[in-house]
Amino acid sequence: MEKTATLDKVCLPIGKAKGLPNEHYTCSSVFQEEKDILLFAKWSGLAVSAEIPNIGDVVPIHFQGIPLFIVRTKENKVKVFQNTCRHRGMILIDKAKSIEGAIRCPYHSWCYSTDGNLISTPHVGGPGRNLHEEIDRSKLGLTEVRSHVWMGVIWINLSGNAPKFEDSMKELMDRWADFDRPLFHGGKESSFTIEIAANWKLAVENYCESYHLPWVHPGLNSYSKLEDHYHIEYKNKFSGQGTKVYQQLKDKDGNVFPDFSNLEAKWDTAAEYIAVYPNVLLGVHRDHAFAIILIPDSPEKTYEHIHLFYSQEDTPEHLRLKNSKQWRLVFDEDVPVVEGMQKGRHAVNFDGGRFSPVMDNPTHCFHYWVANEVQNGRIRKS
Amino acid sequence: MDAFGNPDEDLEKKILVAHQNNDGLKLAELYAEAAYNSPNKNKACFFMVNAYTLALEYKHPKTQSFFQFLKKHAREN
Repeated sequence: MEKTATLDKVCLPIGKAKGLPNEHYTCSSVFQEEKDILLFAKWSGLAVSAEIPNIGDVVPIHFQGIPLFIVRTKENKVKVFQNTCRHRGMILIDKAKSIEGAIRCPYHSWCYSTDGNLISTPHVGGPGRNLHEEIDRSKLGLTEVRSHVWMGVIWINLSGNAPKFEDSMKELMDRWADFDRPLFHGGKESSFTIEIAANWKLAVENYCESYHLPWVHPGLNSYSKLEDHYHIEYKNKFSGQGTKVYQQLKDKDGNVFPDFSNLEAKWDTAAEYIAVYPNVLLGVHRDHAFAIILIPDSPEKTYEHIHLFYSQEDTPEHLRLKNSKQWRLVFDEDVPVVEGMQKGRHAVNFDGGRFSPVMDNPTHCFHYWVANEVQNGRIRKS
Repeated sequence: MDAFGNPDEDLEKKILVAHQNNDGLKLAELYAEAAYNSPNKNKACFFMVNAYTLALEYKHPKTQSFFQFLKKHAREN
């Protein structure tokens, strides 16, 4: 049986380990299982807070089949709710819009405040009667999903029982404390989506290692060579790579983006690219950052939502466009190899593959996490 | 308003047009008008519930006053 395939070999030391078996990339039941264990039980990326910049802004989002919406409340807080009325389960928000007053269900007009409280139940006690003794509004607020905004990303924990966000992400938040500040989304031209015909984990795996740079990103490799990179690994949390020779983007007159203020000196030339398990890929530089939110659609299809952020609200538009174009090129260069690995997972005798004990450490770190979590999840279930 | 507390034809037409135009603020006002004109308490509360609901959604300046109307008749708390 596919689901009972042993994951022990994945968890061996890197020199002996094998990669995740094919079914973790191709099988619907394993996809569903990983959805619960890896996406719902952890802090997953959902969207960016820049999608709801103003008070009252609301955007419906489906996450793994679950209808949700994100809202900026009257108190200017970002919240995430299930997009269903507590009455008959009707979808409340059908398109992105601005809520002036209350969120009114289009079916029987039960009304909710933007912070989720049920504030009106028209005719619930009969015509002209908004009250009924059996209907306790205080217990019928919208179902809130735990959420937290960090690095511009709205993170959610659907199971509701992950450790607090700050505890789950402590090590990375400490590492990148310099970037824990307001990030300014670059606007429409600084967001784009890439659809890939591959399992979401392959996008993570490709992102977190630098081994492929000379072959897949020759443009990048011309100034940021393989030997200028270092691995970043934190067991069961995140992994990625850094470069020691980051060069700022310049226009023809030598203008660059303004730096984030008061960064440590190491960031003059360093940049880091980290996959935060399960589905967020982050990059930081002295003058900009980016977030890639991976939204798994099926075992073999994933959407990558990419957002670029800057140190100030008013950065030059021509530079932002140039930067978006440059990153788009880099991420597009990855698509054939990620999709190629997906195709390779249909080779029945492929055994998960072997890792370079020197170059593939961040990838193995991710495989280890997946295997370990899935095994533990199966034990809990059995 | 007829003898049964229903809004007159003209007001009813206006309400229908406002519904068609998705004009929530106008609708709130028209329902409130129907409520204030209604000689029948139950009918008045029916219309005021609609007025209050739309007022909540569209943040009508008279939302609180509509609420007080319902509260006075023990239809809100």
